[in-house]
Amino acid sequence: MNDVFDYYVNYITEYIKLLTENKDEFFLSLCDIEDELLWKLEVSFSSDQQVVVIDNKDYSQAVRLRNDASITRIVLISAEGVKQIDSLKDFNEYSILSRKRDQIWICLERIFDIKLKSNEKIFLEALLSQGEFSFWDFLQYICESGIQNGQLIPKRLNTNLPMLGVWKSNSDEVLRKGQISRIIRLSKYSIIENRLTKAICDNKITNRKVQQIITNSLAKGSIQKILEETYFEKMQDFLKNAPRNMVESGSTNNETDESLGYEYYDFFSYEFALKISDEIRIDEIEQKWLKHRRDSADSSEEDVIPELNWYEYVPMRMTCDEYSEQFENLLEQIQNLNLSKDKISMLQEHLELLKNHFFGAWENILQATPICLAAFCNVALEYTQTYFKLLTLLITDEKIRYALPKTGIISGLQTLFCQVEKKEIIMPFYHPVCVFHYMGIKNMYDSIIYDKYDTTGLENDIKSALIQKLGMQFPIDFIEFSDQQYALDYTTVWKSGKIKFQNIETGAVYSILDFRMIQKQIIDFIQKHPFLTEITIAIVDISNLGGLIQVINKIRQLSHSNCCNIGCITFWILSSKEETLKDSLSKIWDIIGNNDIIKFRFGRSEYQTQNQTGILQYDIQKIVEEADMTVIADGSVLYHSPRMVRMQRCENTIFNRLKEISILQQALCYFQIGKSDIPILWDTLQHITKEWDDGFWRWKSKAIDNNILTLINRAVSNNADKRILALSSNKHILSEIYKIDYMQAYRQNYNGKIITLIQFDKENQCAKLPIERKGGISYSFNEFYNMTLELNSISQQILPEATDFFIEFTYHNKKGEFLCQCDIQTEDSQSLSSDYPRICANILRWHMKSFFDQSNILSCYLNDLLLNQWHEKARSVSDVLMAEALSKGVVIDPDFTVVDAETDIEVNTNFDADCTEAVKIHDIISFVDNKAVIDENTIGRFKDLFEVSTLDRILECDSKQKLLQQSERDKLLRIQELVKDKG
Amino acid sequence: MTKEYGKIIFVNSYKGGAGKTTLSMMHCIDDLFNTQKYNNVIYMDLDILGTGTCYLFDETKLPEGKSFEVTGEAVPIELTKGAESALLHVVYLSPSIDGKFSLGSIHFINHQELAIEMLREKIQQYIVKYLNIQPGSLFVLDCSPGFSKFEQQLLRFCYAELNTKAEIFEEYITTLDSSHIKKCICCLNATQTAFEVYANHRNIRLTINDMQNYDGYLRSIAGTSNPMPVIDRKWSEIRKEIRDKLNNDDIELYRWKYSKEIALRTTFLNESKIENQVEDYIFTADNYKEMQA
Repeated sequence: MNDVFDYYVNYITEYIKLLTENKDEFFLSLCDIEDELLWKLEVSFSSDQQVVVIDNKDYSQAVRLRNDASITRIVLISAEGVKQIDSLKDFNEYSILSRKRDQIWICLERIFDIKLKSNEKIFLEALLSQGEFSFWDFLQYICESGIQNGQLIPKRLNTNLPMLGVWKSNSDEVLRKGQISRIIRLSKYSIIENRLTKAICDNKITNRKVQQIITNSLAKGSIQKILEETYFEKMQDFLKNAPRNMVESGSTNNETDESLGYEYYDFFSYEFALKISDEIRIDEIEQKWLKHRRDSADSSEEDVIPELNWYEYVPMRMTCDEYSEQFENLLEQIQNLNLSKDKISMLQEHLELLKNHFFGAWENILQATPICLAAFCNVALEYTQTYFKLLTLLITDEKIRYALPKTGIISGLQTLFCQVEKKEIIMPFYHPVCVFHYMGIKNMYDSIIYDKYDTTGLENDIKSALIQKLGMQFPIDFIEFSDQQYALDYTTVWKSGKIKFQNIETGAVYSILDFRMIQKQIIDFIQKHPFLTEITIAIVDISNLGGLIQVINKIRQLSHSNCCNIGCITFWILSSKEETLKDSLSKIWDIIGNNDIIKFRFGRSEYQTQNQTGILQYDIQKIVEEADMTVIADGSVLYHSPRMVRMQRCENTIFNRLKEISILQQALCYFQIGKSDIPILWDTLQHITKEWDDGFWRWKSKAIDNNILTLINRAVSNNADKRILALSSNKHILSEIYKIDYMQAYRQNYNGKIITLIQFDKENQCAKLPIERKGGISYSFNEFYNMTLELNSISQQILPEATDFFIEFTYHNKKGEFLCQCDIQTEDSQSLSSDYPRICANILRWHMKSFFDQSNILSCYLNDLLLNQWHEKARSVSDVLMAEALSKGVVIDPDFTVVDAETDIEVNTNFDADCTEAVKIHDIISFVDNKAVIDENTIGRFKDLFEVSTLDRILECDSKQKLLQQSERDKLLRIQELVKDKG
Repeated sequence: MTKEYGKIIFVNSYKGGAGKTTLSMMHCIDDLFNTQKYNNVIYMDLDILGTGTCYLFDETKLPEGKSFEVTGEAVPIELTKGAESALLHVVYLSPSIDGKFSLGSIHFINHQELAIEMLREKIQQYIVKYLNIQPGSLFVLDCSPGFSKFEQQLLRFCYAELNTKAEIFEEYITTLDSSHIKKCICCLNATQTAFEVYANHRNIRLTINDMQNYDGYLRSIAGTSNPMPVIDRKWSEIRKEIRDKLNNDDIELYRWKYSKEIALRTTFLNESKIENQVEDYIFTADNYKEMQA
């Protein structure tokens, strides 16, 4: 112990030396020192500085020293830190466990007089970042592991791992990152308990001694003995394949996974390559994984094979017989078509070809699954191409098209391989539509996997997050079978072996929305009603509980503050996913903690009635009357029933493309412009079953039901304390709403969709934006990436010392140029690398360039995200026009300023601002951008969609600011002229 | 592979309003954005009885001062479809009917025939010059209704002088109107013998423009039955009747589904310029096809 303590003291000494190098004056605070060691550290570390140990109860000495002008070098040592103490706020604070690992290595090398090798640093870094232990334990671990000839001893490092709560390893070498990461991950109590218990119950552990160690340890509720007395390598076989119900497949709720402590690799091969592997050759990674899966390869290979989620992707039927039967039925139906023999033979040949291709690929697709994404897309390509070729034949051959209605062939083909039940249809991952979906994801990953631009990995992190959002979109929305319509369940799309479609009798939800979307509105509502002690918030059709914990934490903070009197908030959750949500809630119950303030209520059946067509619908009137705040999350209750609408444009081009369909080309097109012809093909086939019509048809499922809006508006006008929020993924919803009072709108990109939030509140006023104002658009870098892509603290990936970047864009009218000012917020400006302008400039240029690139779906989505952010922050018409101009491609060299973390930076966080006008200005500019010339038809459409007054205001602003492009200006002026001519 | 051999399509009809200009535009735009067989595409509006090309496009692009009579040149108009763009070269006549066949001089006002002759000469020279400089070009000539001396001479010239540089093609459009079809058949038969170019040297297509949406009518009367057998039979009858009455078996018979979109968006006060609806002017195997026996 004394030895370790000495090393501890020496470490702190070296650490202080490092932090204060070349500094004549410093006020330094070291925190996260273990409580039990604190008061033993009352030693002067150096004669030329004052070192004081403090705690929150007694820090008077520290304050006295600070106030003494003659003392300029002070070090405070504490457990909890001093930042919360007002008098000591000016101390620069560092954790004993430095975020800059280089500092740790330097100190360790000095105190132990060793030279650390790079593989040792990687090993120790993995332990520090993924393990859960104190620094004292870490130091003790190093001490116990010994030094030999100025080097650490790998074997002892491996056997001493239980000191850090990690399983010991019998390896003689320093474990690689993948190996140690895996061991740490599988050293968690919950995993060990569950899997070893199962292994014992299944009689897989035959060694009696080991059995005894396990059972005795688990009986005591401790796994320490297991970690100490068994080697990981001997036990790892028993740790595979966790039971199904422990895993939330397709879940995006990170906090739930972490709280469960379950960490398994729910990866595609590409994600593994991007995030973990040193290799980037996808084919090599996938080959290893497949070999491991097939052969249960030896342990040396296993070390780099993560626990993969294979059991997510199992076929719904274990034999091919039932699929064969489906094919036979279809062949027979084709035989009975009212067509010439040639046509019938042609169709049957196509179907036989599909069958042969599918069964030929069957074994390989089950082996590869979407986990080995490249291999899966490759083996499934042939039958997918044949399938879609067959579908296009049904549409493009006029005679066949008209012979199909009432035959069941179309629904039979669309539900091929699916499990069809009354309430839902389940589409397996190997259905051609799913394969097309995965091909789209693969193309996105291919575009980033070999990009070596960014050494921090930041760009890859952002693009991976984008892919996850976009990957939640699916090519089709509806399936029909036996005159029943089934709507896509979006929560089953991402990383799911089974995509579900729910019968719309139970209602449909058109996007994945959770508490993150409505967090601000909930908090604002509470703050705006400070005298309410109890609030009820009804949430209709929410998909999952993501963001709930943050909302609850914020509510708790508010309840302890003076700004409101809230004592109880009840969340009514009314959703078709009631059981799933209850299950999720139970899993995070412990994290929510003491829930005196927050209550939950379910029970949607209480608020549902049957409409004239027998479909269950929510009684919105009743819900709105009983709740203080109501949120309707993009559910069918907002809209008219889905109906088919003929496509107005591009039919000929689509026809020609479908006639020569290439699924690779379609997937490429989807990657390049975010659209393919597959949805049109799918919906048109469903139309064919109903009508003898030509042309192409799409489901229009989000036509706003204005009766609902009127009901809502009336509710808020009668009661000033009510607030109702409608979230819609209908991009054009604002132009479909006629005059409704008390409305404000915002727009966000969320999980791959553009969501418009419409808030109804009697206090709302649709104020027009001023034409101009001083200042520009400013936003927080961290907040932007956190809200849009759920990436946290992204500024620290660029500069570890930076707590945030605040970016402001302005337009210098006289020079006609855009300026960008970036304020780097930091807690310790002196520790910033001198190279920081170059580092930041590179990243910010990439940030802007990527947004404006728009060469593929990823960058287009980024562009939308940033544009929505700017619209939200825009406080004048000129701000909106500036945002539009910037989004079309301006590369600016930013100026940087370093700002102390305590300084208030003026960023527009005004939540109250309404984005309706900003959105309309954007829509007008997009409208003219899509027109080659202005003609009568354009004028007619313009008058249907927009107000001339908005156009006038745009042109008024542009006459002063000149922010529009010349072609835009010309077209808008022409529209203005023609509209005024017509009166 | 360089495209050295061009094509000249005469698009004509024997009655007005059959859809010549629309079909001419489709030939042009389909090549620009779909088949892309030719190096350049030139649309020539030769409807001296009532030219209206300048109204089809953005009116600032085709002013009177740039008409063919004044400049002797085509005006390039950029068309875009999605991310693609291409140039259509437009030769158009001035729409004003104040009697000034200018051709640079008012002396020809009272000599209309001479003026038309000179116009024809100018057109011929233009085509020849263009094919020499830019071989492998597509010319689509949108004629006046009828087969006047102007068209005959121009056609004769093309067959005689340009057949080594371009394929010469005649397309006659008729609607399903009974009198229109009958007149068309009668005139085609007459020109077999009356026209100086031998019938077997000519490439002729008769295209029926289903402007009335006959298919739609047949679908509606079919009720809940499959309408295709009825549609097939009716068109087969039409084809047989026309084939029986034509004296030349080499004439191709085509069926063209007139686009409702084009029809709606060319209505007065709701018109959409061609630049804004390029996609509608593309051929498909469904909307433009040979009538099968």
